[in-house]
Amino acid sequence: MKRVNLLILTIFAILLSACEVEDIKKKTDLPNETVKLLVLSEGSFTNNNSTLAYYDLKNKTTDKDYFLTQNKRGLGETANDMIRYGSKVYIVMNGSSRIEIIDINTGKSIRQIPMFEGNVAKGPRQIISHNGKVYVSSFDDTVTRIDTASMTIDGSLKTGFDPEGMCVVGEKLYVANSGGLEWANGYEKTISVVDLKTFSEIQELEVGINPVHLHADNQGDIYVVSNGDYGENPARFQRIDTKTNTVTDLNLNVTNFIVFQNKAYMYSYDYFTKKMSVKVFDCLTEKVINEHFISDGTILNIPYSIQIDPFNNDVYMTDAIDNSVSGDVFCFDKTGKLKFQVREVGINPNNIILLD
Amino acid sequence: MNLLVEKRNLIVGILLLSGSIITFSQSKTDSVTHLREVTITQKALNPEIKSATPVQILSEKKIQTLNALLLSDAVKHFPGVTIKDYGGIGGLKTISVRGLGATHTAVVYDGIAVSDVQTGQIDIGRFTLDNVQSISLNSGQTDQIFQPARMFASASVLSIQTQKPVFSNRNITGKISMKAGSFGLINPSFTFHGKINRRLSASFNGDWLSANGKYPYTLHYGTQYTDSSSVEIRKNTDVKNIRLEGTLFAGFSEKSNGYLKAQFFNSERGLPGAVIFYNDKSTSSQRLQDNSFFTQANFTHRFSNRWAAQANAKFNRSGINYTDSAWMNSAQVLENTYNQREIYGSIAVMNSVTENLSFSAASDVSLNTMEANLHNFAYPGRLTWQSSLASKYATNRISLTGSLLLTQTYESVKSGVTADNQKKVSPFVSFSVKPLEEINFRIRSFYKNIFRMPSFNDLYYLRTGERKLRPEDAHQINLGITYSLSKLKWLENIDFSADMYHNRIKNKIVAKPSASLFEWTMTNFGTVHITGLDLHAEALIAFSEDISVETGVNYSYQHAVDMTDETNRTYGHQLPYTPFHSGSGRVNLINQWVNIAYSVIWSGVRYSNAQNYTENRLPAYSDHSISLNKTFIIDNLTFRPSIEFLNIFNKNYEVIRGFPMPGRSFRINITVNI
Repeated sequence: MKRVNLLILTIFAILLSACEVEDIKKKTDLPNETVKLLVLSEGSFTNNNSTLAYYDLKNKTTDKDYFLTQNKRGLGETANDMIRYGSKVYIVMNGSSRIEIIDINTGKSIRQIPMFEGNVAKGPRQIISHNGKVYVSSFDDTVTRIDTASMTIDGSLKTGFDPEGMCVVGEKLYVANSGGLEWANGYEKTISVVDLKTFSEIQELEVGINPVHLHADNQGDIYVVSNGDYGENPARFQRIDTKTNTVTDLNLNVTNFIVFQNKAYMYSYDYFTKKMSVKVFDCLTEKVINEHFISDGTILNIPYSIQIDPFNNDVYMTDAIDNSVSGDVFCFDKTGKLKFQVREVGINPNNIILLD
Repeated sequence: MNLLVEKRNLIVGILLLSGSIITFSQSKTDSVTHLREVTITQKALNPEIKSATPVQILSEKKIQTLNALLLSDAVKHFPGVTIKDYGGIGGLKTISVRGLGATHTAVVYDGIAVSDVQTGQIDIGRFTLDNVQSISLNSGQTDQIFQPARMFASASVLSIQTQKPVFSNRNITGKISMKAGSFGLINPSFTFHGKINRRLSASFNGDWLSANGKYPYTLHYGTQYTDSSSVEIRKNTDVKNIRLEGTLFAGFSEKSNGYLKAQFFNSERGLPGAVIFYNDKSTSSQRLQDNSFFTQANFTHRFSNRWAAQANAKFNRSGINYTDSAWMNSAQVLENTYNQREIYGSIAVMNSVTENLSFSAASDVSLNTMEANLHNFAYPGRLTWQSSLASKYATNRISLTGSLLLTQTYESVKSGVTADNQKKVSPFVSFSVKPLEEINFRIRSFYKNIFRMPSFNDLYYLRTGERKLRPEDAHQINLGITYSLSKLKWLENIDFSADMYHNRIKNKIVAKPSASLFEWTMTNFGTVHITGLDLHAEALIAFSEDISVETGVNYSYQHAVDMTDETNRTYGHQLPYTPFHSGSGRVNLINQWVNIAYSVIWSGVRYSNAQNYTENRLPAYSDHSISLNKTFIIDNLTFRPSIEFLNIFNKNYEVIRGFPMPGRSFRINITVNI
């Protein structure tokens, strides 16, 4: 009962930071295409069954518990987020309260960073990277900064209640303060603006109640999903113009989204009606350019995350089925036709990393 | 001579002999006890063999051979039972019978059902065995018809009968015992029975239990032997319980008797939670305090050979205080208190039309209310009116029973929307036939349709409660045989029973995400089909006057599958935590030197998830224990020291994923009877 069920955002440094894309491209001379997937799954609560699955697109083989295979130990409890940075993958383990850093090629653990404050587990939630650092939001109302060279914590910042999604525009970090654990007191509705040079909060912006997902386009606009309070205050989708700090309602029903090349690929799912939709939104014209991205009638039970293949613009989505059984990965081509489906990769799959 | 007449004669006989005020009909297990005493001359009366509904009984003597500390330890030895055991002394323990779930099992204490409207299930880990005379488990319902209506209102009945005073030449009897053992266990207890006068006697019983529960276990970080593991210590598993109970027994006349009982129970314990990989800190901040008081009374009167009536009443108040001192909201602490109250009354009458045919009617009213310090709490109340009509035809060779239960509920709340009132009729029929006069072989069968009400948590808990919930229906069909044989050379006695059953649950109450993934709501979603087999055998072999072996063995097969929706990925899969195969056994070697008791419980593989995949599999386990005891008398005091070696193969098996059980341990016990 205590559990706040987790709807997790996929954020990739590779997409937020153009220079990193270049780094990766330099490593190989062959034409780039995605050849394998890493799929992160939360597992079920208190069962220590978070998994990192490995899927080989060529041979169509899956290792459902790749992390266990490579490390002879399970990933742990409630994997919430992961990010690629250079040759490493940072996995955020909420229940186990640590960051697991693995080698992207071997899947072997390089380091575990425990996330505790004294005897209290911080409960890390989401992660982004910027300029040699990764930033981790945690349930204990902090953002932790980890240096990617030394792989050690080198800073911590107090935010609002229960920070979730983050993004960077310029040299500022924007943090969604959800107040998810403060639901009895009406949640939070702020975005903390953090100066990355001093690593201190300089401003708070007011958005919809219970903000959780943040992504920026490349002209300095941040898009925000606020989940609302599941009562009188409905979920909202808003844009923050970071030049003027004005917040605009976009009147769109969005559960989660990702921004790629100034297009927001967004899905919505209504647990009442069990209806889902995937839309494409142009962040420059601020208009929906495709109301029904999926063009072949494919339906996901409970869409759980979305990701774009940077090489061919394929759209990957995960399906949590019913949030208790093992879920699937769907790959659509850029016209919205199903290319392939990988069944039963893990329970509550919430993140995909595409590897070339 | 038919059974009823035999019973009466028997009971009158016991009454006269012992001067005890116990009479028949206080509850099923009363008569069970008496009947068992007579098995020396009347084997056919063994209720396990004769009952038309499957029943297993553990007497105090048998319980002593099970190496059991808590009631839940002993109950694991019943066939068809799944105990969800969260490990350690303080961990929650619930009983599900034949795959129906804990909410379908009634727990009855001295003839009156224990209720928990908040969760709908009873934590049987809080009952000790110190004051227990017998425990029995009935599928369907008991074979008796002269009982409160509520006794008809569940799919199975776990009945606890506490000790009743028996006085011979002294006016005070009793016992004192002291248990101590691994993980800081200290458990002193006492029971005293006093005869006040010809009509009145009293019993006092109490026990105090303390344990730090710090047991080591091996934590496996993978499924293969080559995967890594570490040895950890279970944290936050300390427990302190105190229980005090007093009973006044009254034999008003030869025709009337009754009792008045009050019990106080307090428990303070840690809630260790599931073991979490790489994080042993999150499980050390939650505490639970239980506080309960109840008083209950029974009055039974026999107007004539044909008419009898009984009245039962109970008042119960129980409170839970839950705290999490590391809760991450702004208050930094989570403190929830829940209080429940119950007022219950029942009247039942029985008319024996002939020696063989009897009718009964009962009407019960209970009022349950609940309070909690939760945001926007509904403060629900429920008035339940249950009425039953039952009839039984019984001869030496045939028994036919039928009953109808009418349940009406009236829900109320102080704030918000009220849940729906319910009105249901629940039928039951059973028969038992002994085809041949000279062979003690019986065929038995029963059908029952019953339901369980949504609990207050199901209806009203925070954001998950759903007020439109309907009751969860259970259908049970059972077909079985029993066979009993006695006096074959060394073989003093052997009993055997085999029962096949098919159960169905409809409108199963489960949690599903509703408004969002953050909002889980209870819904009537789910159909479960359970097909199973229970086998039971027990035997007494007497090699000489001093040396005998008493043994019992159970085996259960359960195929409990999700039949909700063909398109679901769990369709046809075995329910979580339900083993296909399970069993138990015990051997008690009685001799003039040192008695040796061996017991084992065993369970096959289970799944922790509704999807029956390898990664969700919990391995099979067996838990073996052995104990030595001796009884000797010094100065009219009977001493019974014993030592128990528990889980001797030191397996930290998990009944529930993430909750390892204690490994090898020991207990020393000294009981002095005065």
